[in-house]
Amino acid sequence: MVGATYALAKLPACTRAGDGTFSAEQLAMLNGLADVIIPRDDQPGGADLGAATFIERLIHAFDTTPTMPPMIYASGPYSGRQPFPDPTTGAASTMFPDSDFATWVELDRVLDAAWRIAVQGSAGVVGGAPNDATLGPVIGIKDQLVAGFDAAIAASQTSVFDMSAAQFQVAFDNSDPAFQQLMLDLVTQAAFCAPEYGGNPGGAGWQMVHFEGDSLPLGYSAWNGTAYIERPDAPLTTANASDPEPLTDDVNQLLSLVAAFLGGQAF
Amino acid sequence: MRQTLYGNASLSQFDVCIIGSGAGGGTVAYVCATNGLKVLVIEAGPCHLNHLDDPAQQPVPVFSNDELKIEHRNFIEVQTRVDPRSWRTSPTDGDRLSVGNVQGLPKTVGGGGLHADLKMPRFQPTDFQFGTLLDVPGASFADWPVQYDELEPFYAWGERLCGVQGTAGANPFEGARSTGYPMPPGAAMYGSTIVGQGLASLGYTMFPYPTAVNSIPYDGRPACSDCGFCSGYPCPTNAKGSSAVTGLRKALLSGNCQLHAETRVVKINTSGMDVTSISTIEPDGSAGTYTADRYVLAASPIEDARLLLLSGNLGNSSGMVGRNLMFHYQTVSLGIFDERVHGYRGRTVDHGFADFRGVPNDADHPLGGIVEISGGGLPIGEGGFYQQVLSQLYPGKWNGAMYKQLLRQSPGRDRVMILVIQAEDAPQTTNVVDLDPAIVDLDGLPVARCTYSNHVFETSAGSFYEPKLIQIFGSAGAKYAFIAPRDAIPGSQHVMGTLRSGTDSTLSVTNNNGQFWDLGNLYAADGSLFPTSSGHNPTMTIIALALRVAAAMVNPASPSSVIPPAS
Repeated sequence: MVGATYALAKLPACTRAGDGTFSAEQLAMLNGLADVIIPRDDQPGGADLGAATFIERLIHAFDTTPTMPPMIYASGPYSGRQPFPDPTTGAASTMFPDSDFATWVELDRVLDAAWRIAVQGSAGVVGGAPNDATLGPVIGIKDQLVAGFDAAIAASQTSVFDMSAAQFQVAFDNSDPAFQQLMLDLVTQAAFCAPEYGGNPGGAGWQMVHFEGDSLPLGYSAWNGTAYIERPDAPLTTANASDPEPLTDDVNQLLSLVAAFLGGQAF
Repeated sequence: MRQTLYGNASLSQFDVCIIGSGAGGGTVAYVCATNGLKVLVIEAGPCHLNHLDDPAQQPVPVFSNDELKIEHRNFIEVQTRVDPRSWRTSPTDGDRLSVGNVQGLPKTVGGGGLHADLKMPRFQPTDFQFGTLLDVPGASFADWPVQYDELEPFYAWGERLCGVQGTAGANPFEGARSTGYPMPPGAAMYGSTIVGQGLASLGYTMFPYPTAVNSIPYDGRPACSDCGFCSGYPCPTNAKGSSAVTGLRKALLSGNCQLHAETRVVKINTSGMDVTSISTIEPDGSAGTYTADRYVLAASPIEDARLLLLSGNLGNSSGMVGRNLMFHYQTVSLGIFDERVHGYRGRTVDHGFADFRGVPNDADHPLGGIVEISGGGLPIGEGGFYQQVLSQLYPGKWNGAMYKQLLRQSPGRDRVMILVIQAEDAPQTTNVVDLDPAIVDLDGLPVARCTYSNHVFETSAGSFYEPKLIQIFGSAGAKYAFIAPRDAIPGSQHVMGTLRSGTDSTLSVTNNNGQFWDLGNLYAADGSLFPTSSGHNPTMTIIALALRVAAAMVNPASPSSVIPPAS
């Protein structure tokens, strides 16, 4: 098994499954729209990259035990994915720190209120959000998503379970712009977040875009007392050994348009 | 239970109470506490540095290489749903144009020094003299009450305190220095060396950016490992010399300092010409009161002004509180290269040039600012950039296939370098902070409203330098270059002015020692003191001024005598 097939096969099978937060129809719409935003091709799509799990985990961030902080901010400083540098050579050692990302940061009064309002809306805090009277009540993330999914389901002539990629594309393009932006944000965050948040399973999103992910404690240079040592696979001061995915003609064409649109130059 | 009290918990009587623990407040705490004064620091935000006051070990931050946490869930930045500001360009806009994040600086122990990548150039000597040198209709340029020569020893002290890397003499436009930098520049990012070739071909002078990031182990903190999560990211290893892990920590370890986190000051109480106490909301939401002999405002220019207005328009016999609000006028140019220059690795900015700072009253060299040579961002933010591009080019129809190609080929992260001019923002008395008439924070208090618009002084300078930025990228071998569109609200988080210092009590709020003209025991010690904005990153000047304000509190007759000798 090589290349793209291997990359897809490595993904956990459960990324599209859902945990019951949404109805089966809503979950199918979520996954369909995630694959509109980042289509599946030889590499994972938005649903493969954990959009559903990521969103569900955010919605349930406050459904924790009394002794467990809300699951909004993974702790730090280290994830355990990168090793310590060898103190004498500066090269990667075989010693890895424990994962601090596996625990969550306790929230202070302000952060707690801010995120309860974001996730649950004005009803998430006693008395509502501070400016409901002037700006109107805040609608929580789950309610925004459910409304968007239900509107798309209602507008479709086809059962959501039978919709084609082209039909999901139409559903997305015809959605409310605020809902579109929320989905773009959440699906992209899911694709490239630290995996502890429920997206980017196994770092598949990072691998897809040729990004090393969180880099500490190794970093990209290590001071060994006399000189900086760099990672041979990811140099800091010099060029990469190769380009895993050069610019294609259509991307170059788009960049030319951008430069022209903004009054810049193509050289 | 969350820890909110740090330092010497047994202290109950204080010589100095400081509101804010960032670059200004942490620095004042350091000077006062290490010179024997009993210091109380009140910080609105939480402390994310475990063991901050532990002499047995370095602080252990909960900061991390986590883009979602830091940039998109705003771990240390202002939470606008409960702590917003409002914005308008002039009173003709009505009460406000928008509500949200308006130049919010982090509310956390360490303040704005945590999210910064701590670029710390000094201002140039002439930057302190624009009241004399410039005559710009509609602007309120003024001379500083402290000049470069007097501030220079405090600059040197600040560079030692924070640990600034750099090469003395490399910036041909820098003022005279009494000392070199405490440490040499760190490893150079590949992308900046590429841009440097273009700069050299055009006759510009690139230099290592003075930055408070350890290039070698320094002051018990480790060398930076160039993790790449730098600009906008608090440091997980303490290699960045923010005031939290330098001045504030030293104050806490002195035994003379007590820090209260998650404690929001809501009112300054006075009697006659003296501050008598401050009222607070405590971490649990209850009310509190604190007293000291002297008080220092260091909560950032916008929050400083807001607190004075919330306290009954204090210190405002001049009518200048909140006025002359300034940001840097940033012109941002992107250069996209055919090769992957991997600018997301490293310290975000490690080189710069000052050829676009300009010369007063020289039409051929208008006053712009120092230019940062910056790498690109990280994947989630990169996606946001492509979303904007695609929505402009393909309105109404999402192009997911192109979105994915862009993410994979990464012109906006892995192949991009960015030039940012931090240009002089002309002070204007009509650019002002006041209280919004309806929008409130979590505790029901009116939020700050910023009324601000640019002067042609800075917009014309920006237009002058834009084509030169594109020319640089062309000379460096970029394939595309363009100027980034400006946001409706300026993107700069360099916030200055509002409590202008000066020599005339009718035209300024504070004197040359940061002391309020109207209140004898109230001082300011942050960017609020700046009469003008210069065209350089403000943090080192905030620190130098704060050192000097604190030194004058310790020894009014001879502030410079408080400066410790370099070891």
